[in-house]
Amino acid sequence: MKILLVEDDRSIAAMLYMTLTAHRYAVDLASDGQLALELLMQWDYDLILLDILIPKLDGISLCRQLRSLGNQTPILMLTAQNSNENVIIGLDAGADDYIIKPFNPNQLLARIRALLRRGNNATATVLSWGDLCLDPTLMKVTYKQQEITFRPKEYTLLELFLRHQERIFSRNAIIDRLWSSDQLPSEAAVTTLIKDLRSRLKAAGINQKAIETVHGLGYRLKAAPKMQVQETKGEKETVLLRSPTSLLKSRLPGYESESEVGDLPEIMLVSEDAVQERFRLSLEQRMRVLEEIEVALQTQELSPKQQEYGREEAHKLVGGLGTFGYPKGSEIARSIEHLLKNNSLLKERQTTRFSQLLADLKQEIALPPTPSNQELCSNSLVLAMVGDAAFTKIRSQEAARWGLRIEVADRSTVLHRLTQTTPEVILLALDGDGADNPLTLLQTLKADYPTIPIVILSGKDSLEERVAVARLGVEQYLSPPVTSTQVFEALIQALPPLPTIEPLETKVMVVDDDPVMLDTLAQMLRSQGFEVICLAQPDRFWALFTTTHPAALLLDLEMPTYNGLELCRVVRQDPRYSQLPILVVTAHTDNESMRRAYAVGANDVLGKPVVEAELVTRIISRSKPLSQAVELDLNYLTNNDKTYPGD
Amino acid sequence: MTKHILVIDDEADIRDVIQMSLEGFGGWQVMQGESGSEGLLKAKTKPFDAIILDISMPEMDGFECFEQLQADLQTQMIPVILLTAKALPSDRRRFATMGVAGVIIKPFNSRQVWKQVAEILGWNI
Repeated sequence: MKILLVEDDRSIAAMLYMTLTAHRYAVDLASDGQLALELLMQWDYDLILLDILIPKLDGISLCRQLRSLGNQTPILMLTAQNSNENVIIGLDAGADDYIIKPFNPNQLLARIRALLRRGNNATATVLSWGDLCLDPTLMKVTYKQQEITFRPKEYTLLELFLRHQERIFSRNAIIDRLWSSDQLPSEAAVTTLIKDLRSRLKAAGINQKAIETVHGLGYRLKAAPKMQVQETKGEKETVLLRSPTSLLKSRLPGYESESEVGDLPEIMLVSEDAVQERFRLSLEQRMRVLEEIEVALQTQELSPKQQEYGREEAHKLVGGLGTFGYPKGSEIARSIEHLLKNNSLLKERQTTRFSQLLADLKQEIALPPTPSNQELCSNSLVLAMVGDAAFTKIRSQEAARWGLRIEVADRSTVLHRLTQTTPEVILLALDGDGADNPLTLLQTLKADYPTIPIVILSGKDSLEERVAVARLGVEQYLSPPVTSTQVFEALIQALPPLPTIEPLETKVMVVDDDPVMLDTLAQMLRSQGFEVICLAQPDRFWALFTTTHPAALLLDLEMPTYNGLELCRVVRQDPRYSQLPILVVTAHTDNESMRRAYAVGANDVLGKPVVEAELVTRIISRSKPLSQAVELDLNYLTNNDKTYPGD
Repeated sequence: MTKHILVIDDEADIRDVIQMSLEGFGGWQVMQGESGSEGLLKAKTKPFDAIILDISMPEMDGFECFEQLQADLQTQMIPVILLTAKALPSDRRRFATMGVAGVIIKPFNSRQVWKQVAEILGWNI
């Protein structure tokens, strides 16, 4: 454990230094705030003991600066005045605790131990590993109740491993934590120390190797004898890696180094396994956070803060799981993230859903990871069949800004390429090069790969062609002149939608001047897990609508000031909302009223009294991607009356 | 000339994987930043050839961090690649217009991500 002592009074500093080192802490001393900040930028400390009144940069400002930089090291303030105000300012600036001078050394040590416990999210006062126990208060180590004696450095190293079980420490990291900055032993000293500690543990009767060498990374305490960490299977590969420390020892006062400032640390060997292993451990920690949320949900003690924390952890799982060979797990984590994203706390139904998702996720990660697929790149693949002229502008570098990747094929090779790779969207130029009917290839693609959306880049703008490709179910049609930005816009619009967003996080806005009806509709929707925004005054509609961004609108037709038809028209006029599902609720379901509602752009008309099941079904079905709805309409046209615009 | 790349992401696993891929396969040198604010400080410590920046971070997100990099004469010329989870069309539109060199969508292939970086930046490999 390494402590930074920031104190300008020599006598107090000397007394504290003696006390702390006597209790096996490594101590660095800074006599002013500026020096303290420099040291903190270069070294990791387990705790900062900070006098408030110090020169150059006072303790309070130092606290603020550290916290704003995201540094979370525990801070214990030393304050001379028994002034509440100073203490409050200090705590608000980010300090964790304070102690008033003059203080009893034992009380100081107890507070330090308490803060160090807090920093590790552990509450245990005694650190244990199987039958091995270390009591920091008594500085005593026992194995199966038998005391073991250690030399001071061996003791502090063991304490370090016990405090951060599962963590890998490089030799450099061990040096940083066990020795103060004015003593810089060689890495060989660490190797020797590890050897000594191992033999001491072995002599005490611990049969298995408690401290293992993680090839190329450092050392770690093995999982405690009763726990099983799952081995990850994967092909082993050793690559060169630099140790990710960026210590610039040469900048330390009184330290002369031959290396230039800013030199990167030494190269070492690291295996992919080690990174995999580290991921495994962080995965277990993240799962624990989600498990705690599950418990809190069941006991109805989930706080918004905990829910938000869980959402962040789930978000990290989305990225991490995919990268480490769990694509399906990544999707489940995404659903969990969505579930926790709600502004309101989860309700009973969502609690069940959460538990189910968590169970699925556990099942998923219990399996070995799938080796990374053949896809070279995670960005959405666009397979482009374009003549030359129209499209040479589009280059991979521009595509990358849109999160896309373009692979060019030509007519003769495209079908073969499709057997080897699955693009998320196909870009096809119809420039009628005279070879054969350009639509033939399109028909083949649509027949063999119906799920891959297609964007057509036309060489002309003909209604006949538009209709022909529309009938084949093409998603987007671009006619000249067209800019590369327009092409990318069309491509991202055509991409398959993200995995289904669950209905329970769909935000629905209900507008009805009748408070009873408003309440009834809101109840129905909330019971089905929708988030509901209620509005009883239509004249406030636009302001609320544009700030809350609902995913669907439910409008009462008969209202004072503005009626449902007028609101519907206003929404449809704005291109941003051209695809928003709008349902109109009315007591008048005669053909004329229905026709008027559809004419202004409503997607659906519901008769009063509203039936809950029907309301929900209609909202969900209307929230489907538009392309599917268009496809249905086209089928309807071609199968029934064989007419289409332009006939 | 060895390329120097700064990776800013609050997730240690992701930083490590990127570092491993870029150093191990690409032969470049990587420095890590574990938050937006730390990344901004480190970005000035040497003339980086590229910055890989995660969008979703607590406190200072990638958007804000990018703005600050752009606002500083010392760092505004460094090409930035964004890291993001699968994005909606509206997000993609925003990325495309903010002036970054490119976007890498998570989850990425840990063995191949260095190639993606090289391709976006037009580096010969």
